[in-house]
Amino acid sequence: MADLLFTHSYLILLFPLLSFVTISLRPVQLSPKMAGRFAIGCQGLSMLYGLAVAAAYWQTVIGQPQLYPARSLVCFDLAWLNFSPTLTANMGIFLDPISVMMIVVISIISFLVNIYSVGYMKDDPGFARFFALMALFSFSMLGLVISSNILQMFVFWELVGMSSYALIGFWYQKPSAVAASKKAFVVTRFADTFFLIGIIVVSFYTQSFDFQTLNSPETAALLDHTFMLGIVPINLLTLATILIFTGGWGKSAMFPLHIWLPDAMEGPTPVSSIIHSATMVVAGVFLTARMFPLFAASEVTLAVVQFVGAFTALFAAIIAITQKDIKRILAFSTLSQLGYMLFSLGVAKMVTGIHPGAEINPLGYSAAMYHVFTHAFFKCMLFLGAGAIIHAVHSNDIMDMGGLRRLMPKTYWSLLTACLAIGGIFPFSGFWSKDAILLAALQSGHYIVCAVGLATGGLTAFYIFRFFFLTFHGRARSKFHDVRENSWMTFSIMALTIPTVTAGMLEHLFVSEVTVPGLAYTPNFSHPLWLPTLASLAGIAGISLAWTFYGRGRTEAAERCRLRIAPVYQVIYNKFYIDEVYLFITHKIIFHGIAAPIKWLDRHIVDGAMNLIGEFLQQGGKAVRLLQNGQLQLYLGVTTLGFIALLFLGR
Amino acid sequence: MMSDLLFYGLVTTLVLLSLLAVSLPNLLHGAIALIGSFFATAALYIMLQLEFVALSQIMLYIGGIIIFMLIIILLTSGLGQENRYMVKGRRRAAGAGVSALLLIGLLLTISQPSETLQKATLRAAPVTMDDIGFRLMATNKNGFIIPFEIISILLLVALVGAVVIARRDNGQEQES
Amino acid sequence: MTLIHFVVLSLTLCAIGVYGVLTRRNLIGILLSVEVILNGANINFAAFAHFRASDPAAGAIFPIFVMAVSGCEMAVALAIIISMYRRKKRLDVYKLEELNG
Repeated sequence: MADLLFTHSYLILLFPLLSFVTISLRPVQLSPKMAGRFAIGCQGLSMLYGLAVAAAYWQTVIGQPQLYPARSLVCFDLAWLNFSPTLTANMGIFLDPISVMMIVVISIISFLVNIYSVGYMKDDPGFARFFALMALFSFSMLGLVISSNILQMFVFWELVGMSSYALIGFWYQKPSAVAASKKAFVVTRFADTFFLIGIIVVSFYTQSFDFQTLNSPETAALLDHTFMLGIVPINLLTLATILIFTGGWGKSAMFPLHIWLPDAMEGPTPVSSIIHSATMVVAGVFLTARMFPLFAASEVTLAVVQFVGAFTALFAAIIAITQKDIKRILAFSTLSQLGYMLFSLGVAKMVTGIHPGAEINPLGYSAAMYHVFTHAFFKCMLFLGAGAIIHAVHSNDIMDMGGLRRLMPKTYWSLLTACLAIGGIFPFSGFWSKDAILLAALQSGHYIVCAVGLATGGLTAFYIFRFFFLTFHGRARSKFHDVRENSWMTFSIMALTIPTVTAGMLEHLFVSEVTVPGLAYTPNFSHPLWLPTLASLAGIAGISLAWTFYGRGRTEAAERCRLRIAPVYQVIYNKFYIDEVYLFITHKIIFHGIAAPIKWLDRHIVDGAMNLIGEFLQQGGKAVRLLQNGQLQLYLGVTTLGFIALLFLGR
Repeated sequence: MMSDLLFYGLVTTLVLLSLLAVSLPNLLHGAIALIGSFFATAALYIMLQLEFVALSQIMLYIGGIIIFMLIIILLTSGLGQENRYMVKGRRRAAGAGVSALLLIGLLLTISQPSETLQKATLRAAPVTMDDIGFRLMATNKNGFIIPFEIISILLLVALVGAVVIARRDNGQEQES
Repeated sequence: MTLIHFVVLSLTLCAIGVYGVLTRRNLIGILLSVEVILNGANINFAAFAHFRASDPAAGAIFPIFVMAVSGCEMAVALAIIISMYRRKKRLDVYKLEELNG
């Protein structure tokens, strides 16, 4: 039974693909309503099948550790491209703890978001197109997580990028949406280029794309040599892993490639929801986790991952405090949470000398995956809730909201759990995953990162409750018409409270089962009690501060505070002017400094030479044309002259 | 010496009439000068004892071709009016230069000491009409039957073609 | 009255004809000049037939062929000129330049 499930595990992918093909290519005519139902049905089947596979995996692989010591299972692996006798790209399905976990998360969230979208996208002219693209999106992401080799993963990786491009620019009549989708695509493509180079470097040396080969210690030893690039010594392993990580860097929108994510809010809210929880941005974290053994073999790479993650976590949290657009607050919150995940992966490398004999602390890895899991649900819910609010209020600005608690009670209570979860309040899911992350940082000896994590936790609680209080409490700051909860939408939101509240129970499961592949090391999960206490205190402090400033929907105290630190506030509100820096670099330096001279060269030297040749030929043609003037007697005269010339020459 | 005088007189007349034929402004006058030059040519043929060619010259050229030409002139220009297209002196000079060069070149070519030309004073027996007739119809190696038939077909084709070209189409030509 | 006289005469007629071809502005004038050239050629044939008497009959036949071909030429030329005149109402070779490049 389980074997049969595994053999046909491609069905998980096939249902969304079927939905996409059916709705977009229309082999049968579907009304928009039917298209939505059909998409939900396909997603539901995909989810059921995914859950079945997960259960079978649980029973077969996890339940029999003696048969599956690596806890992984290759369902099938077909040769796809034969580059050379030794290098073949396969297409296959690879199940291990993290891919099974991602299948569960993606299929459940896609299903719920699809249900939600029926309410949200109601009356939109692109209703059917929306569901087709959503199906493509979940197809791509599911394909990404079950890839058996890195090239297949890259293919799906780009499909994810492409479908997110289509979805962010879904309302293509809006110039801002088009610009945002272009920005997202260009930035992630920019990063993906490095990813591809990394793939080429690695596969060139190892003659393999397969994850199991790439993650083996032999590969790390093979790659681990230093060569000189000019005068700079470069370790090939570090170079290759950082190149691969750059792909995840851009996809997960880590600083300084984060600029596309806030703009991606131009898409419909369900799209933001699925991008931020289960698909697009998680791909970067997933990639890092998937390649973790190889990354961990390098001295530098995990330090880079850790630094980037920690910095982005703090950086994005600070920006989130000042934002007024409800979706942007959540976008920066996602950045911050992704930072958590990445630095959690980064801290899995022990500081030398903390625990003699152990180099890798698998707790960081498990904690990161655990946070991916919990975050997906509560962030999805936050976005769906925000979408419901926007749908009701027709505004994105939290300053226009307020007092929605009575009008939208179901959303209110559901979102409260999500806010508590992201704020890290016991016993909601976020508390447990953040606690695990902080513990991993502490155990590995990265005390600074641990402190950054704690501080970010406090900031997170503050900004999320600022959003919460300003939206739901106090009195309405603008007139709302006809605020009503849509049952399609509230169903999804309420369904998501279940994992949000209860996912904390899965902590021990993650810690013991979702471990670094090929590392026989039982994690040390002994808790110093002061750590969760401190984290909770930071969260509670953040909430209290938010209540002081914004409780009952007040804004006056916050306004006074804002005026006192106006210059700093301005800098933060403008996202540290990173976008402007990019604009400066691209427009002033690249466009004017590099592109303009090149353009000048092209216009005047290259084109000039071509024009000169063309002009010469044209003038020559004109000159020759004069002979061909249709004057009969000129022809005859010239012929006679030719004859005379022959007479004289022939003598 | 009588025949030499006659020859030079005929040659002078022929060259002068030919010059007139190519340079008279009025085409009708030019055509009449051409008729005169053809008569002179016919006289030269008789001096060369080629009576048949002389007769053909008069009958075909003067009786046929020149009459054709006169018909064209009269058809196209309304009794010789509008024949005087102005020709610039420069063009005349250029044409004269080119033809003078041609003449000089040709004369230089034949001025080479050549036995063929120098000693060619032998007079052949007169060619009778019988000779010409038999040779034209002869089917042996030296016969001209095939060129003769081809010429006859060519004439037929040319006449049919002339009719086809000159026929007034009932289509677009009437409007122009 | 030798062969050389006749050859010079025919070359002169040819040059005169070329002059006419190059200077005549009327299409019919050009045809007329071509007749002068052909006339010179005919005289040449006849003279050679008379003075180089290896095969005088052949020399006498050739001018007749020339006349026949010339007749064809005139017939076709008449047709072309008539139809051209019908279209253009003029036979000025300066203006007949549709074939220019």
